[in-house]
Amino acid sequence: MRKAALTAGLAVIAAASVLLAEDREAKEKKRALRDSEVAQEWVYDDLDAALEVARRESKPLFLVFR
Amino acid sequence: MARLDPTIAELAQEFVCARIVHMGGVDLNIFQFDFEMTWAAFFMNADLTIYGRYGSRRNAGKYSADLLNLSSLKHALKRALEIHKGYPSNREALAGKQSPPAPWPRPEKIPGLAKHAKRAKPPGTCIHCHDIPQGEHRTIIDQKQLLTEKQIWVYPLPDRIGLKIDVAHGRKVEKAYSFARRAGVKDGDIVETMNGQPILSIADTQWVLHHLPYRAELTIGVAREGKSVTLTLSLDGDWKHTLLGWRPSFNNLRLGLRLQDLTTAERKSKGLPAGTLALMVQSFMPNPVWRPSGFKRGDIIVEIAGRTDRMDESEFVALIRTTYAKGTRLRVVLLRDGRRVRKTLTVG
Repeated sequence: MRKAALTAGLAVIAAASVLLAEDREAKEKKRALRDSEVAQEWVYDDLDAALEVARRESKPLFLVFR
Repeated sequence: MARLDPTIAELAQEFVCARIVHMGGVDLNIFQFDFEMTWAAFFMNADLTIYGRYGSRRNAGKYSADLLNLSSLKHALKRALEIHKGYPSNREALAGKQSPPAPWPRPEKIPGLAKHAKRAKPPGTCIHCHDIPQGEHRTIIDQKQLLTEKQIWVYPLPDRIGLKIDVAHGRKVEKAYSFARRAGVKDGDIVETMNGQPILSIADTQWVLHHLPYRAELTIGVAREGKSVTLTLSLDGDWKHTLLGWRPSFNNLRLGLRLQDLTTAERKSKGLPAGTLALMVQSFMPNPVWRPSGFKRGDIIVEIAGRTDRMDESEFVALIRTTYAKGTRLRVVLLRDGRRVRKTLTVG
């Protein structure tokens, strides 16, 4: 039981670390590219994530290259 | 745009909006467009089928964004939604909009960009759209290959075939002339299709024109007073030739020189005929590696490798890059202080 809880806890920490790392990377890119004023509606620099949402919601993509 | 202008905000909610901020890792077998734009967009399906492109440019400085317009973007978004509703039964009509195989699958794989890509932090973020043609050109030149006409005369605007499009609309013919007028296109027509491809924007017309040979039949479907009319343009001659000097990639192609075709008055004052080569050296490229020796500002090139016919700077550079490989030494005749001087220009 304790082993399972420990495994689950580690998995949560690992997932959180990945998300934090992705968030850090996105922030780093925005800073490097001086691209800070991006609205919430935009999927930022992640085509795969945008495609996944488009598939799920049966929407077309409006994909902008800055 | 990143804050979604109210003009398009409501329509944009019908889409998944994504912003790609650099070209690192982008699949060039799918995403091909005029890479030297101020701003470019794709409308597409989640299966990566392209419905249309948006974003055109004709020059630098104050003209760098004058073909971009929120109203025409709104029209394009609406049309993209119509196409999406008709998908996949309209898939066949979209076939020509899909990109042909790219010479390199990703920007990082272009030899001329590989080092550039590795230096960036985070990796790839320094590869911008305009780097793609520059990297491709540099790779081809360094391999002592020649560029093709299609690699130089890219994405001609519809003006080149006699279609002046209303920039605020994106598909409405403001003025028809030349090839288009001869084929029966009229002012006020709305361009619906070109060679069967649905047209959403000026960029879509450029996509069709980019892939045509110089001599070609182009079928245009227009809407006129509520009716559909199909017209055929017979294209021939140098209609793909356009101003290249504003393109960042053109700096790679120049032989270290910025040149200016002399005006009629300037030619007259120097005793040069109207129809002959007369390109004045205006300045040198900043990178000293590219700067050819023996040339001075104010020199006028009147002959290159035996050619004396009139060319503008774009045509001159295109001639050299499609005819002579890197390392070729070309004989040049200059007019300097009223005297003819022979020089050698090495293609670099």
